Amino acid sequence: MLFSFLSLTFLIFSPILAAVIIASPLFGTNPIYIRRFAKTFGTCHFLYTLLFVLFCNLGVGPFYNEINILGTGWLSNLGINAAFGIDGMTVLLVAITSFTFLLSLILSKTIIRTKHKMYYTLMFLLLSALLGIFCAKDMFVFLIFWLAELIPMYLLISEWGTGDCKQSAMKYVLFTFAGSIFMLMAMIALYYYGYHANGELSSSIDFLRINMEDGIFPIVLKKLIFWGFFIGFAVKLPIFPFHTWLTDVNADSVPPVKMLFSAVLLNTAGYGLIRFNVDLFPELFTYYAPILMLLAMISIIWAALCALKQKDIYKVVSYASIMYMGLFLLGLSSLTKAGIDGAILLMITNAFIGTGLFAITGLVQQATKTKSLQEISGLGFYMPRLRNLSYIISFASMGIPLTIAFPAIFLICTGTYTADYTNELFPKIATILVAVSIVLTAMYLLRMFHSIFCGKADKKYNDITGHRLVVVSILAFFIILFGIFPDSLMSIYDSVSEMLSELLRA
Amino acid sequence: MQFFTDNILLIFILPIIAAGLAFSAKIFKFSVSENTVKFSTITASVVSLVFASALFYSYNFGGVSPFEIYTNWLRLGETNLSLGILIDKFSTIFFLGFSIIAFAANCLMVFKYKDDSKFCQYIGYLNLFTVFSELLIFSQNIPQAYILSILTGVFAYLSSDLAEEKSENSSLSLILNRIGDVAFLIGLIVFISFVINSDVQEGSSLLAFSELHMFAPDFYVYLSDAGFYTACLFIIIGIVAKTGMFPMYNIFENQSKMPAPMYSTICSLTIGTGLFLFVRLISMFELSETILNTIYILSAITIIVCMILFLFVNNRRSYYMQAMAAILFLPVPKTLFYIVFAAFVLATLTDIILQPQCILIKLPTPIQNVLKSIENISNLYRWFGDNIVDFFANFTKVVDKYIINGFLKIINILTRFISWCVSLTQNGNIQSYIAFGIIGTAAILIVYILLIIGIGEM
Repeated sequence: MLFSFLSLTFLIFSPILAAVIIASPLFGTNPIYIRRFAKTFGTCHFLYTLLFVLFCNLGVGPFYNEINILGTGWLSNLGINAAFGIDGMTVLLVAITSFTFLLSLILSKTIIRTKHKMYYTLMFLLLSALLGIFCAKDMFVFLIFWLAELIPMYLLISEWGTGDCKQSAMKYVLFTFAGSIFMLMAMIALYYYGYHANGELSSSIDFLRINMEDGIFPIVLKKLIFWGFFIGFAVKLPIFPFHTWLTDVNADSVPPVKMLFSAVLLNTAGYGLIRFNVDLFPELFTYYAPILMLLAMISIIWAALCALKQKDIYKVVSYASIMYMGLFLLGLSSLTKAGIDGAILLMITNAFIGTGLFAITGLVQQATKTKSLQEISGLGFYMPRLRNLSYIISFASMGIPLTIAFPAIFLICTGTYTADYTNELFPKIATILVAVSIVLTAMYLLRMFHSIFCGKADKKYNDITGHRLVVVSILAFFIILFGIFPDSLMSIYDSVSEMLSELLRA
Repeated sequence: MQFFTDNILLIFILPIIAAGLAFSAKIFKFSVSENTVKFSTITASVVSLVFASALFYSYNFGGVSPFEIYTNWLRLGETNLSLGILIDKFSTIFFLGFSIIAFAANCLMVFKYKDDSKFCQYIGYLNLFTVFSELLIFSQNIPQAYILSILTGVFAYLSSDLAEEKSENSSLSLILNRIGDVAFLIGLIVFISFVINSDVQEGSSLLAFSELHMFAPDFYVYLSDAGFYTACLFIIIGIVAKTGMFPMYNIFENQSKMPAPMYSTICSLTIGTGLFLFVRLISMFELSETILNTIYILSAITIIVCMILFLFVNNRRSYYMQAMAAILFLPVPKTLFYIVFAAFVLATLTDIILQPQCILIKLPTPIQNVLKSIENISNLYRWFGDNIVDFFANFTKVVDKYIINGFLKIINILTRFISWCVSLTQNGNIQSYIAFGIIGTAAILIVYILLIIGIGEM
């Protein structure tokens, strides 16, 4: 009875309804009403996603599938169905997306000063596109949502950003588009070769998985498709050498948008990598795992070293996100249960910590009107609340115990060390490099936060209060809560990681 | 006796409540007075002392057998990481020592430093530091001890950061601590991988201290002498960083701006936890003579360096503590408790009585310079840190530059090649057109990829 009114269609498309309501002339242009409506809707949406989490957590079932109202008739001649579904991993990503959106909406109150109607409309369109990415059970539907997210994101960066925001927005779109071309080519090859091989047109991910298991694809084509998908996701993850767009976008966009970037956008790529590269091509993922591990190692060390010398607070945090996603790839490429568990947990960790770090740096910039580390100092004396909450979130980023990052990093390190590679030494060197990166993380975060909070301030600042205090406190609370009880999250996606590790072992 | 074992969690909960009240009084301006903070912290330390005395008596003289309890905390592939409590003779001895130190420190803070502007924060950090140190000595397994040793380091850092005017000093302490943590982590993972692969441990939690003596010999055989030595060496680096032994002997020097009770507690309890870990793991270390020799050599160097510095430089209290700590690694473990306690008393006395007098022996300038350079090892770390980081940062820039320049050159070559291909098509045969088509498509794709990569951090 409790779950009888669950509808993924409603969950994904209801934000579009909210966007239409806000955009309609009947709603008016009063920013107070727009904000209130947005926050109320965001809260209800988040509570609704929690019901799905309960569904997956209470043992009702690890998987939830649904053919939506558009049904099988939608482009059925081409075998494309607007089917949606969630599993233990997806439901957490959906919940975290909705949660981060709610926090972004709350934090937008004092940051967004113009074009409220357009801003909140675009935010809800973006939410819908992102949820669609996580829930799509059809390859082309996934791609549609993947590309649909670009339009609102481009406008959100370019319209409300600072500095070279238009150029950064264009860079983001170009990079994602370029990656998507490879992905599209891979999808078309997968779709048509499947049709020629067994005479049935379908782009359903489940159907494609069966095709893959049947072994009808030539190995060369499979390899090309694998790399096509990988490049598409690697650009957005982002890993070295495709990472340069992220630092620019984060430097020039507004804090609520940065929070979404870090918390959700990067996770869509991680999710895609698991859903397509691991799920559809487990044997190729296993075959190429050492190369992926090498890429991850380069990405981690490169990002950590670059972060050490940045003068822009947002760029430091961006490199922290790049490092985290490198760790994600490392965990995944270890092919072990512990590594995969850690990688999935790291996606959730990155959402909390990335959001927290961007919220803090955003609040620092709001107070000081600058984002240059050299021009900020002494905030700790006037802003003790922000300072203490920053300590919690930055310690979490360093992987200190009792914060959510510790179990994730610990699992990844253990998984990497115990990876069963032909060259036994390689995973061990990777583990040591990860360990070095942990020290580097401590160095660049301490350097940044000491620069911000220690020393003498040139003027008086007001400490954070009201909604800003609420947002950062909530994030700090969850970072500690899930750090103490990591199993409460891991038990939800355990069936998925088990399935993935079995696939990779086979 | 059963009452104390059953309610052991009380000794951890009360200091946390006291810390919460202290932070609330200062930061969130809740209606918590300083008197409430004082009362709660003294109560917590008194309760802890009562528990410690009772447990010490019953486990050392009452013939009570060790008590062990644990619960699964984190899934680690096929196995689980557990959190638990192990109460035995050894942990009760350390607990009594820690409780006495915490009680003394709390009393001194409340009566001597009550007017300090940062009093509430100090009390908060003192309670949290104490509770994690006490939790560490009741650790049921190695991973749990590792987790808690990190937390003690973090709260020591937070306390010193509160007192320091120059934040670089406290940062350096934390970074040195993190280096130790990371080394410990690597050693720990080697252990865990061994346990997972060999299924040596059954019926208890992963790497339980109570079973260490049983599977340590298997571990030694599994890894061979060199492998075993390397794994243990990583753990020793962790302990060295914790106890401030050579070459990380300056971690306490940077915390000397704190009030004397805070400083003394942090030094003695940090050294105490390092020693605790050393003794708990001794059944493993003693399997290899090379490991024991390494520990002895490190201890001897630390004693010599710290004692020399104690005699001839201004900032003497930290070096005295560390020389004391290093001595502890040499004798039999049973005497450790007394020396930890003595270290606290002596450090407090040094701070209160000897510090103002500063009796220094005048030495020739070259020797003074040598001593100065030994004392300022932190400068050496900074030099290394800055230069290595600069080197890598420049290296990344150079690589970026060469990648971009290299790609531009390739594009140039490609353009020339395409021109050559175009000239080929002027022959007008079908093969030339096909060749041109393939080369052209490949070139466009490559240029596109280069454009993506080429837009670097430059």
